[in-house]
Amino acid sequence: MTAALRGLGKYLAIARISARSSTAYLGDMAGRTGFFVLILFILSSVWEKLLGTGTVEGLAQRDLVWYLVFTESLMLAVPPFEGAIEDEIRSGSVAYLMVRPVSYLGHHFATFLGEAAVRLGLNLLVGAPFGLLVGGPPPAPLAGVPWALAATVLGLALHFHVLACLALIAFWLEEARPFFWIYQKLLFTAGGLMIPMEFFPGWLRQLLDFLPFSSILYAPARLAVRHDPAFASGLLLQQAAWVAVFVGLSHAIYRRATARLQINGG
Amino acid sequence: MPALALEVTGLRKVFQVAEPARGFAGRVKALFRPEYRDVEAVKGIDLAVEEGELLAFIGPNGAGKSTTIKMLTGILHPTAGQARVLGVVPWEHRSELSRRIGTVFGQRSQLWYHLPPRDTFELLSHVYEIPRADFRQRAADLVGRFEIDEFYDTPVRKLSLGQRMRCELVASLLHRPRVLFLDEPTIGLDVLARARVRELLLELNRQEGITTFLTSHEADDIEQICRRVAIVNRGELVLDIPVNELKHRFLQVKVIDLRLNEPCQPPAVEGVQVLKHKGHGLKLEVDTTRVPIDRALAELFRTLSVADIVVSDPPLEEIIGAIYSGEMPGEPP
Repeated sequence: MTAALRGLGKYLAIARISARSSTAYLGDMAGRTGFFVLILFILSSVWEKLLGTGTVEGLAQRDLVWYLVFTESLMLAVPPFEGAIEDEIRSGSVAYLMVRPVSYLGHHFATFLGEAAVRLGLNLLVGAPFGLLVGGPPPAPLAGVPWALAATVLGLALHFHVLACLALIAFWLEEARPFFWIYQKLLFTAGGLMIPMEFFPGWLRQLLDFLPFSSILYAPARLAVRHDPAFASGLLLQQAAWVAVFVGLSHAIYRRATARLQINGG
Repeated sequence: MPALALEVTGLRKVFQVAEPARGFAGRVKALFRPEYRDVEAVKGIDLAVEEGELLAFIGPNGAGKSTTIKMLTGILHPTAGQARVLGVVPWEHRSELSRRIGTVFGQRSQLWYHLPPRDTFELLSHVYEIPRADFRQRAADLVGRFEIDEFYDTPVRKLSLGQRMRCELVASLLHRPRVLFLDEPTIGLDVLARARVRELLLELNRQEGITTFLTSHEADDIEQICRRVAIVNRGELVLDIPVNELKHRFLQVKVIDLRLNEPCQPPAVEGVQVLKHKGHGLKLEVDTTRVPIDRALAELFRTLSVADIVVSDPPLEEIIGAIYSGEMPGEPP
């Protein structure tokens, strides 16, 4: 086995144990799922009232129900890891993970992906019957599934690395929570959690397309409801570019932060 | 002569600590141009630890213990000085070294809280890239030796602190480290659990010859686990001697507990101080620099009717406390 495969193996093992750990409390899972269904019901009712049998920018009520199933599934699947990183920095326990042959950010990313995969799977398992019941059959053909899946992985990777950048600010400011709050609200609005990008005025959409938020929620959900290979490849490229930017940025901040640890003692 | 597991020369670490800003304008200014002052956390430590040795590395809070351990495990670069752990410079080869050292931090668990210890061990086998057959054999051996079979499949959250600490130790030993850094491994444990952890550490050292670098605030840990103690205070190594020598070398006083046949007033003897006197019980402290213990005892037996007597050393923690506070007892007679 090559060193690279062994390296990958340890992060897969971390993701696996994280996935298993996330199922420890069935009550929590049931509570989150109940909230998910409630949110879907309220928002799809709003779209039904607003759209009726009409369409906006080619999107009908059925598309929007399925769009919501995907964006809400994703949003409620992401585990709140950022507070843990911030706490580790504030308490100095960040140092304890550094004595293991594993990357600090890689460890957190694998933990994040493991838990997110379980939550997302469960949300889709519950969301799909909801979509069928309220919206009808899924609008995109099966051929679109791999594209949507790739966009989901990239969206999760981007979300993790944006939040990791914000959490690492704690090395300097000790309090990163206000930044988490602002980011979350921007994700809700500019990320297309409830309203697809097509519904925004042209100038605003152009502006939002320049920002990373739509790559996190809108891109995977849009590809899940509309299969258009040309459009999909453009979106995936944009996502990949943002992921590259934030992976680079988070690792650069981490390097600066650990250098600061050398000077200031954490 | 055994090889050295740790070799430290003139290890020094200076941190820059931000000066707190005063007033709103000061805080705004500090955002852009913070002012720093130097704090010397470690002031040139020299230390050599032989392979297989059990060393207690102790000191009061803020003495520089954690900073030293962080340098020895490669987390921090020193401002000056040299260190070699198992032959490598820790801060230059942190990843390589991490596969050859084990760490247990009493206040920070490496076990997955909601899962059984088995799952964490399995994960660590991947993190340390231990071959499967080797891992299975090692895990079975350690699980047996540390007697964790009965709760091997119980979620960590349901284990007692003592059971958890035994699992922490196994987790830190799976990859067969040659040096074990233990930071307060008995913190919060009850008397029985603490004694069991100490036994296991000693047994481990005997069977595998693992070099153990222990920090603890428990004097009993130091006395019962380690053969040598290094004391740091205010960033300096103030003492580095065998544990049994610590008592003899810095012992100025003996404590005498007497049970009297009939209550009576204790005699005034030079160098003897009454600590407690109630009914038939009398507790005295003898300053052996002023009066030899045999003369003090002879004087007491001459004037008192003694039913029972216990002569003991003051607790080790009192000696350590005196060294911490700078009131180091006198040199040996």
